[in-house]
Order: sequence, then C-alpha cells, then structure tokens
Amino acid sequence: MFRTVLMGSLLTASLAFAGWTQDGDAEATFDAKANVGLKIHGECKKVKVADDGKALTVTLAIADIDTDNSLRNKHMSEDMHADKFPNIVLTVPLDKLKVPDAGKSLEGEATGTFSIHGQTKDVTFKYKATCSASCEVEGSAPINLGDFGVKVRSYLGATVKPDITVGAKFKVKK
Amino acid sequence: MRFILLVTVLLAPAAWAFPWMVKHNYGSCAVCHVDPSGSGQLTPYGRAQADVIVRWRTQPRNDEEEVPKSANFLWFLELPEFLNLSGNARGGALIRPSPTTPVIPLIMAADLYATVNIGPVVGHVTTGVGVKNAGPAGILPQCSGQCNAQWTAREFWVGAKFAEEAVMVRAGRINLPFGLRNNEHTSFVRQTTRTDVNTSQSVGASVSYNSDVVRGEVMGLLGNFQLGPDIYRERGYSAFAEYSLSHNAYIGLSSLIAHAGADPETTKATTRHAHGMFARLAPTQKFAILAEADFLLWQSPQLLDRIGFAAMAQGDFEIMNGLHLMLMLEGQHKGAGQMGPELGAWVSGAWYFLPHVELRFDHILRRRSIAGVNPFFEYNFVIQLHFFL
Repeated sequence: MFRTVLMGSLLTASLAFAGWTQDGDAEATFDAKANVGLKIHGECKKVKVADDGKALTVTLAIADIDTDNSLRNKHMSEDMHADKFPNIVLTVPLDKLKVPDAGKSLEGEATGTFSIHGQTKDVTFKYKATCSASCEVEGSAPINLGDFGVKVRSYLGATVKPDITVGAKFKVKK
Repeated sequence: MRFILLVTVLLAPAAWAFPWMVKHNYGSCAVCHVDPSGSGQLTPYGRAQADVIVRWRTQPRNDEEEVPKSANFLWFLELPEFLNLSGNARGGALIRPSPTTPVIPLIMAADLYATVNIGPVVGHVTTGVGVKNAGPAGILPQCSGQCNAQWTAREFWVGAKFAEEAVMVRAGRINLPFGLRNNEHTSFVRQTTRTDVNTSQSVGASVSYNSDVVRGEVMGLLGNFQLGPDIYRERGYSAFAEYSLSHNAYIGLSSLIAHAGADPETTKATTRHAHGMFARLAPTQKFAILAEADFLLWQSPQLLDRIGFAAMAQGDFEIMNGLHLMLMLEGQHKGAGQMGPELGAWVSGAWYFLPHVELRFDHILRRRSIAGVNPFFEYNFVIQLHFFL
C-alpha cells in the first residue's frame, strides 16, 4: 500500500494521509505569554495519534502537560477544568492532509477541529511533513483560550494572555 | 574624597540575581524582580517562585497552598498589596591560604529593601549597613575604605510603568544596565566594566522595556553622588538589549561610555568604553549556559589609550531542585602593561535548603597579572549563608 502511495505520489505529487498508525513517541507543546515579558512553555510527552480512516486525531491529557512549575500546572488544570474535560483533542480530516513524496518534505496549512475545555472549534494550523519509512509531522496553531471559554488568571501580578500557540510533533507509518 | 579602595570589592556582598532562571523559562526578569532588568528585591510573584521553584525539596510541594506562607516578609508577615518589604542578610568567611589572616570573617550584606506601589508609580529604596565593605555604596561616615561600618544606600529611585507594565521610566540611583546580572559580582566582567549590582550604581534616569521577545534598558548616567568630589563621577550612558531566540535561548548586546574628570583607579581624566555581547541558553531544564564578552577601551588625554577585554562563561547544573553546581571560566586584560591576561576558574555550589535561605561556596583560582608585577596565582574560598528576609 505504502509503495502504491509512493508510486502514485510520483505522478500526483501528493496524496492524503490514510491508514496511519503512530510510530514511537509523540510530543505536544504550548507557549503562552504574560505581562512584563513572562513566557510559559508547556510540554507533553504522552501524546496519542490515531487514524480512524476518516480523520487523524491527536489526543493528550491535561494532566500530562508539564510547565516546569507544579503550582502553575495546578492552575492550568483548574483553569481548563481538567476534572470535567481531561483531554485536549485535535482532529483533522485525512483528506485535508497531504503526504510528501518519499525522501521529501512538504509544508502546508489545514483546518481541523480543536477541542479543549468542553468546547470544539475549527482551527487552522500549519504543518510540515517529512516522509521516508515513516512520516514525521510537526504542526502548530495559534488559538485564543477565551474562544474556548477558558478564563486565564492573574497570580500575584502576573497575568497570562489568552493568545497561545499549540504545537505537536509525531511520527506515523502505514 | 570618599572613593573606596578597589581591593575592598572582594569583600563586598553578593547579589541575588538568577540569570540561570532561563532554565525555567524565565527570560524576563521583571516579573520576579522590582528592578525591571533584574536582581535585588523580589516582587511578591518572585518571592512565591523562590519557594515554588528555587527551593530545595525532597518531597513534592503541597500545591494546595496557593501563596507560600514563607514567601511573606520575615517568612510570616503579610503586607498590604502596595507595600513590599524585604531584606538581605549575608555572612560568611573568606579563606585565603596565607600566613597572615587566612580566614577573614565577613558580614557581606545587611540591607533592607522597601518598595511602594501606587498605581503605575513605584518607589524603591535599598539601604543598610556595610561593614568594611560598602565601597561606593557607602554614605556615612566618610572614609577611604577604612570604616568599620557605614550606612549604605545602593538603590533609591522612583519610576512609573506604562503599556501594561512593559515600559518603565525611572530616575534615581539605579543599577547600571549592562550585560548579565550574575551573582558573581567579583567576576572580571562585572568588576572591570564596573557594572556589578552591589556597589556600581549611579544616579541617572532610565527607560526599560520588557516583552516576550525583547527586553532592554537605556540609562543616562549622572554619576555616583556618594563619591566626591564631583571630578570622580562618571557621566555617560549604559544600555543593554536582549533578544529571545526561543523560550530557552537569549542573546544580548551591551554598551557603556562614561567619562570622569578623574578615574578612581588612575586619577586621570578618562573616557571609559565597554561594549559586548552576552547569551543565556538552557539546553535542558537542568542546565544553563551563561556567557558574556566585552571589549574595553580607556581614553585619557594624559595617558596612552588602553584596550582590553573581559569575558566569562558559566555552566549552571541543577543537580536536583534547589541544589546547583556551577563552573565558571573567565579572563580579562586591562591593556595596562600586564604580562598576559588574567584568568580565573570558579567552582561553586549553591544550596537553597530552606525557603529564602541559601548556603553557597566558591572556590576561585585566578592567575593575576598586574603591571610591574610578575604574574601569580591566587586562590580564595568563600563560604556564605544568605537569608533573604
């Protein structure tokens, strides 16, 4: 199948993702800003990538996001009501994603749905895919937490801004 | 004349500045420090993070406690929001292998900090007692490095914040904005550029800016009015700007030009230049690299111009939360006829074993090179206990 895709891609330049499974570890990040230049970087090393034949789904648990500050992790969990909405999910229809030729990279833009805090909205993200035996995919998107009903907090004079950037990096293979 | 012998700087109090916080994604200093360019008194947020992030722990913190009680003034006293009081008490010993006075007890800092915030207006004072070590921060009594104790005032300024606190305009006695605000205030880069945060403040006015991408400060220098007569006061500017390459990589430029009718070291009219680069990198959450290199130039109508440099690189490894091991290499040349550069190696450790308490040691081995003297090696061991009230 993969060979067919590769051969076909020689003619069509690119085809959609389909029938992929996660290959190895995946990670997700977010970058937020606060007043007076404070930056907050969060990482999650437990990310699941799945393909149900129609869409590629990237899922992570808020509890697995680490901002290198236990109190801040707690605040994040509370602000996102992780007890009620424990997961963050990005779903992208497979036909929106392009696969580069073997040994090549492709950069693109696609729209998927982003679910956080119990609300789901369309999100346009940029991605880069590099394929050989497996495909390495890296993407990011700007989101506004306010659009998802998340109220950011002020803590002792530091106030987080609602505009953040989320990113994910993973490998998938046929 | 009240200028203080430069040899006393070795005994000057150490700073409270953590550029290695870049490991924890704190590229900007302004959220944790009252001084928007870093060092010195902490903000309430900074005091809380000193407990949450900096402190040594063997067990995970109980995060149900939103604001650590120990983050309060004197570890317990809650203050009204507009008032920020704290203190800096540091004592220890300098151990120098020598037949005479191999161990010198030190009271390195006994300062009180006060900051008042009224809307966008901020007023800040740092004052205390200096014991044989106040240097250019001393006010009274007047002496030439021979005082047993002096009233000191390192900083006193009034400022106002604008643009969601990104911009701050200040006037008063202010730390010189230049290079890294590293704790090692006796390092060559801090001493030779005269930009340490213990005794090198100047009266002047400054504008600082802090965003997630760029931070910096420009200051016009009117001189240190705790030195006299006026001929010893340096006037000019000092500035730095730092750019964030990513959440864990920063690179900056510094520049300083200052003129004094009589340089405290040479007593000759001198225009002093220092221009350099610095960087802060955190390849991992456990390791930070701090580096600075400065080009130096001294111009005097009565002497030949001199050029020199000062540079340092430090690796800060956080063995575990609150326990740091640091290795620093440094070098400098003052272009004054020395036989080769001065070189130094520091092996240091810092243990933040209780909230707002630090135990620190420094092994410092240096090759000293002074004009007219054969180069020699010098070893110092400094141990200090620091209470940040």
